Amino acid sequence: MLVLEDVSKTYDGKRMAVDRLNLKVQAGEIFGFIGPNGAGKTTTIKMLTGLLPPTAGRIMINGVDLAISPVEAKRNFTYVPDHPEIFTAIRGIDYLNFIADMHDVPTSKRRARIEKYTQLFAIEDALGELIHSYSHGMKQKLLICGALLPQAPLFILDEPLVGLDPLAAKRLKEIMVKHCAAGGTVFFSSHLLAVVDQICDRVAVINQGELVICDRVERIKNGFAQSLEDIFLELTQDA
Amino acid sequence: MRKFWALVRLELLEFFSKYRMGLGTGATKRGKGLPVLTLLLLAVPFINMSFGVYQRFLGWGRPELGVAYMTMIAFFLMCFTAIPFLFSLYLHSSDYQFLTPLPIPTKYLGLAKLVVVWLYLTGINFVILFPVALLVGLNGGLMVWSLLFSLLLSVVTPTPPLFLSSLAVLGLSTISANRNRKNLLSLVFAFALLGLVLGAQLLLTDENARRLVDWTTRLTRLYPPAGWSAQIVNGSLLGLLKYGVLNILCYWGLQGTTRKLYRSALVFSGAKPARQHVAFDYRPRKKYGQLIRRHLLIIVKQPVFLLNTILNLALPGLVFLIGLLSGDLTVESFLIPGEQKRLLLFWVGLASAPALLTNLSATAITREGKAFWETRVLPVESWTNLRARIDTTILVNLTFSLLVSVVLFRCLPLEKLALLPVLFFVTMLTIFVATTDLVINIYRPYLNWTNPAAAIKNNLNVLLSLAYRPLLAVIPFLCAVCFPRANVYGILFYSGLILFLLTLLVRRVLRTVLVEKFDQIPV
Ligand SMILES: Nc1ncnc2c1ncn2[C@@H]1O[C@H](COP(=O)(O)OP(=O)(O)OP(=O)(O)O)[C@@H](O)[C@H]1O
Ligand SMILES: [Mg+2]
Repeated sequence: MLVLEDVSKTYDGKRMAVDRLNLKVQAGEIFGFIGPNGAGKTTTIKMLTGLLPPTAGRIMINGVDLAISPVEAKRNFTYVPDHPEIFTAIRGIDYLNFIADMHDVPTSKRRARIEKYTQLFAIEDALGELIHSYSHGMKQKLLICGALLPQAPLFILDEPLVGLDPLAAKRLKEIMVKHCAAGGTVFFSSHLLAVVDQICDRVAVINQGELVICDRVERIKNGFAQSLEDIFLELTQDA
Repeated sequence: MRKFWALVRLELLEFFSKYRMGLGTGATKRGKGLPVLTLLLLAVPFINMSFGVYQRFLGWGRPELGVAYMTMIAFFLMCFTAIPFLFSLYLHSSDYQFLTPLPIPTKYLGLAKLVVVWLYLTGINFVILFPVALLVGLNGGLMVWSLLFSLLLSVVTPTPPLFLSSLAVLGLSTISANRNRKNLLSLVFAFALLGLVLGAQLLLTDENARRLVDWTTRLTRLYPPAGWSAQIVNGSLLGLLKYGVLNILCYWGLQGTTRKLYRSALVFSGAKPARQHVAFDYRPRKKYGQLIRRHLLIIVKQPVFLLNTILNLALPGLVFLIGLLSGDLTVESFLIPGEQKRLLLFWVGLASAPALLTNLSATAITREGKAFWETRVLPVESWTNLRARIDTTILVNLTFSLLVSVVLFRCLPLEKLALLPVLFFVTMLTIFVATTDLVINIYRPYLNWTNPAAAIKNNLNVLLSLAYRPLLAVIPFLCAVCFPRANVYGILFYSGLILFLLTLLVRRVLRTVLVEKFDQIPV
């Protein structure tokens, strides 16, 4: 579903923010992407979504090269960034309709989906209000609803659980699991090891731009016979 | 009391920093000088008006009525200024959050803000009421004393309108403290101000002498302080005393209203408007239409962008209109035989002004700011993304240009034949400028702004886009040289054609080279 081949990025031409990253995410997987602050998670995700051009390497999404046919590739995923900075002078419903139009969500499904997801995240009452009256968490929920709306095969999220209330976090985790059960794929970055432990099929640990390990959660745990937290600290400290 | 003055200082500092930010200058030495300069420049027409009033009323033999007239004008001017000012200062201030927990009497919080407004109004008074008062006093033989009385008059007149404005704001706040309404309010009052100043100027003619004297006398009966003003400039201590008493009464009233305003501000900052269930529209729209709508809304919903755009678009028309109304400019002056050409050029100039004076495309990417990433992750071709920005500019500018063209065509005695080449030229010019300006923004995207004024004012993009505009004059000039036998219409047509070809070229560069540059813009 998602393939990264020797993807590198440097902002200043000297230090590599992401260094020759190779990853393969299969369809139907929940893939966790973890690493300490400044490891290069956001940078990687921005490259995956076409927001940042990689310095080197190739990104394939559902068999489509992001650099060669970006539009085709972008039809295959939706993205929730780590900050909810969107155009806020419109109503929530206008935002969702905008996303639905841009992703060609069929008219017949649009209303049902919008109602379903906004009710799930308890923002249906706020849809008629301007987004700049939303709280940080509400904006985040709106972005998540917008990303769920097109039901694209791949769902890319950057630290999606930070700032959500417990119920919304639980709902989002459920949705992620359901999405994958139905054949979809989720790629998300996180600091929350418990969550990664709980729902991910596979995880990749990145530190200072380099991939440290990438394997099934239980295999990593077996190999080290420790909790994921200890493994994480061990893997990312000695660099 | 020390705490109170510290608060006042804080409010003043905040006011000036906001004002500076509005101008888009920093806290450098030059940045500090600029606001003073703009204020002085703004003051000139008002001082001028004050002189005008004095001369007219002197000419009609009622100089002291000039003071009453100006007191009335100042009264409305101050109300129109104070209402939106009080509204934003009291009901939309972010400083309550850190001021409220401090150990300061709540009374001080409300009053400190009031001092800023009062100073502002007094400043206005000094440019509009003070000059006429001084002149009338001098004329009445008060000599040096007139300076003192005019000063006192300028200081005592702002309080009553301030009090009435605070009552109005209190009334408005019970209707709505909505943020959107606040912007609407500022806009409405800005236009009311403009109308008032224009109206006051236009009414002031010798034909209106009788009526003006009449009205002023009658209004003075309705608002007695205007009459007291006339007494004060003649050296009446009684007038001053009356004003003094009125000031004390108003001050009492203001203590009450500001306390109420302060309380409702605290409520509003925590409370949410009542939820309402509306039936939403789920009908799909065209993708391209949605993109254009987005870019239009970015302009329309951000008051700074909207005002800037409207002002740039309407400025030449306004100048023309004022010229016509004030009689400096008459349609007849264009009707001199053999002056058809001048008339035509004037028409082309005004119709091209929206394209030449605005530079919406030069900030088309910048205006999106931190929300720029949104369209980048959507399945939209980068070229389409760029095209939507260009077309938004064209849509705005061309609508306005066509409007101006048609209105002028109806008003001025122009040949029917002229319509086609002029519209062709103006359209091509608009399209060319809208396309070319975007190149600048692609090279210089600036997305991390927090203050919208910084996105569109005083930045190099805007300057660059304005800098190449004069070069465009080369095109008609070249046409005139290359086709010496062509008449004005021919030159307009050929120039339009050249602009069209140039646009094709720029578009080609945008599509092939600059799209890639656009894709590299880091977010
Ligand atoms: N716009 C930028 N310009 C220059 N350097 C940057 C920029 N963005 C990120 N970096 C650098 O790239 C590296 C990776 O940053 P990135 O934001 O990808 O980290 P992260 O893993 O998402 O961290 P966090 O857990 O804090 O979100 C950091 O060293 C950071 O300093
Ligand atoms: Mg990050």
